[in-house]
Amino acid sequence: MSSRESAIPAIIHVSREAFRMYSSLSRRTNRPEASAEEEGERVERKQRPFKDYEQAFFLAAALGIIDGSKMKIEGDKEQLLRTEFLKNDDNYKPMRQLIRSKYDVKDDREVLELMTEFAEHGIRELHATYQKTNSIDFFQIAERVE
Amino acid sequence: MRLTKLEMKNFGPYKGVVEVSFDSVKGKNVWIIWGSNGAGKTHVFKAIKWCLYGWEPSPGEKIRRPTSKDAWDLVYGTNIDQGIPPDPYMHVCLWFEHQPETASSSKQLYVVRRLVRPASSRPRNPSQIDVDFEVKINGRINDSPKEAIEAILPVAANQFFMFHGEEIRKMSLKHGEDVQQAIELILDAQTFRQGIAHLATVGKQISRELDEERAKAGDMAQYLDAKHQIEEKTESIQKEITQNQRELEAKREDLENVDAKLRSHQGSEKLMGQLEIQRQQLNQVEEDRENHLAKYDVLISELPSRLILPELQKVLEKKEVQHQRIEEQRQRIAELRGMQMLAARVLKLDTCICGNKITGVEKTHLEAERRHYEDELKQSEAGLEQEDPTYYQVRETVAGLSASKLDFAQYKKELDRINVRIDEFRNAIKKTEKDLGSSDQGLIRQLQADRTGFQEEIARRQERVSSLREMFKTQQDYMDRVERNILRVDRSSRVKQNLERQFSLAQIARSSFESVLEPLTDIKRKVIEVEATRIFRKLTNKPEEYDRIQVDEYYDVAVVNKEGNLLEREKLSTGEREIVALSFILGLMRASEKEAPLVLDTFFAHLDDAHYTNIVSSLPDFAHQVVLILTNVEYQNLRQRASEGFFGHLAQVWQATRDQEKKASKLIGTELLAPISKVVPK
Repeated sequence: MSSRESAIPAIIHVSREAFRMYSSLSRRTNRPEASAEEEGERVERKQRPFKDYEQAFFLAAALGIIDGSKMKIEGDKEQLLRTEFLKNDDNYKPMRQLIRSKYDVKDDREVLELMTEFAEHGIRELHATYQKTNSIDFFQIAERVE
Repeated sequence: MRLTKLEMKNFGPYKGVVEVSFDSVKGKNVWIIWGSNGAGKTHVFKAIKWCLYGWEPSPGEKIRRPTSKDAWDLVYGTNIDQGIPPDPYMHVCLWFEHQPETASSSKQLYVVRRLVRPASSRPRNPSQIDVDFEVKINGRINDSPKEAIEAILPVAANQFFMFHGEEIRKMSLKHGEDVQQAIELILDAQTFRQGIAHLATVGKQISRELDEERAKAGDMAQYLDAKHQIEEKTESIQKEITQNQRELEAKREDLENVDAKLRSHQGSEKLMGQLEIQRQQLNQVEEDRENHLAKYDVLISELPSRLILPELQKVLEKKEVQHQRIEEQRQRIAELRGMQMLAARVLKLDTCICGNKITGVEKTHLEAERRHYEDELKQSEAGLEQEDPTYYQVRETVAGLSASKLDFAQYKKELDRINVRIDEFRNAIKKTEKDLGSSDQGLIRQLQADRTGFQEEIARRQERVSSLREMFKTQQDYMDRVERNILRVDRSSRVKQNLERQFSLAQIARSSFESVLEPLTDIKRKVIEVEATRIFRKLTNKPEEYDRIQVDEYYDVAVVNKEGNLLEREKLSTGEREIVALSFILGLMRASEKEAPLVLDTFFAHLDDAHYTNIVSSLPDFAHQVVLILTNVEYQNLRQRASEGFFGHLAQVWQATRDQEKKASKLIGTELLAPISKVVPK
């Protein structure tokens, strides 16, 4: 394990607002359900569009990347999920390569920071859409690249 | 019955065989056996009685069974010479001629009583001797000798046919009960009394058996109680079986009705089946949709990479340009290196590859070229860019992402197709449901539920009926056992009824015996009174003074005089009293209605002349056969006093004598004697 890798944060922190959005859009959370539901919006859990935080996080990050928009994590932060959940996801590798190549980032910690910032933007976009349509049209999102 | 012959062997004082013949001669019916005291004349009398009855009954004596002691006393006990050892080989035989009232011809009777199987040739006590008794009638042995003799001359009557003079004296002193006893002997009252006693014993026995049977009747009550309980239980089970069977029938009818209704809804059933299929298909498609939607999550998960793929491709394009450039640089370096190496190699050669010799100029030129290449190689190598290490990773990632097509369109198309199918099935179901009608569905479901319920109920009832039948069978087994016991007890009950009847009969018989005995005795008393008076009138010496003999209700024998006054026997003289007694005994003999030899042993002791003459003259008329056993004195008196008429009846005279040397008695037949006045004394 290199010293650079050891600098990777163990837990991804997001803004409290973003966290509420993640919670309201994910069917399965990494937190106790009661508190999650108290803080999240009252939506029937099984109707939520994302199965978990990492699914929502990567799509949000991807949207931020393709939009070229990111947001700094400011104010109060919430623990979203452990980094290892992200690293084990199939989306992590291409997204890391892209960020490292495109934004000339050499440090994985920075990669994750960027990823989180892009996601901070992307989750708002997703949440806004969901707020408007009570659903997320993934087909439409997909059509943006096809 | 007439005695025709007597045979004695070793009986009493007699040694060896002694025969006495009583041959019948017309008009002669009196036999005399006389002798001095101890000559053995009375043993003839005893021999007749012992042979007939096994013992020596005397008037008024109670009837009993003979014992070996009787034989012992008769044979040995009275032996004159006690010093002579008794001879066990002894017998007495009697021959009779009997004319039964009911038969035209007479019967020949042979009676023998003897000692047999002596334990010792010199027996010392009665237990060492045994007596055998045999009766032959017309030469044939009778199986019941005792009964045969009893039928001809009962032992009770015998006492009044064969008696000792001493018995007359005893009878003359007897009163009341003794007289009654004598009369009852004639009546065979003892048999009556024995019968009564026997009936009493039988009654007691029956009563005991009845008690036992009554005790068994207690068991009957238990069995009957058990039977009733089993009957109730069986009835209850039977009722329950019937009820269950009725219920079964009802449920079967219900089931048939339900089946009929279901058959009538066969169309609906078809629709129901169709509906069921459609629902299954819908479920299947919905399951497909669920599975397809699961792919949706995969698509969503892959979507981020797909979204950034264009960006990544752009990065790769840049990396490709750089990579291409580096490749070109590497190629140029390789070319320069090759050119340099070729120039250097050629310089080392003298001839060209075409065979021409390389000149100096040419070598200089080649050297210059080699240096040029070398310089250019150095420049190229110095200018060679560093390869981006992520190039291959990105290229691989892009290649991978590009290879797998994220076909949302295909997914959507498939999802749409599934949704269409779902809609189709839903519509079809709606249509089917509409066709079926909600009420029919409910009804069919209800009928099917009812059918299942009925089937379960029928199975339950059948199981219960089966169980009840088992219980019924068990109860029947119990009932069989109880009924067997009841039959057993019932048989016992019938036995009880029989016993009760027997007891009742025994009581009646006993009562009848008791009630008959007294009047019968009374009648017999009157008959005896008449017969005794008839004899008394012949014997008495005061025929003008004494009228008759009376036996009163207390069985006291008295004489009634011509004035009708009762003369108590105590007021009569001894001789008169004995005449009354003799009259009474002979009256009893006549009243017995039997015919037998009259055997009188020493009975003229107390008679005066008048009485003696009367008796002697009347004796031949008292019985059809008379045997007189007399002492020598009596015999002398008889010869002096008897009339010619008496001697006319005399058949045979025997004299008993005693041989003092041989210590044995013998009987000697003598001539028919004339009255003593005509006899020449020896």
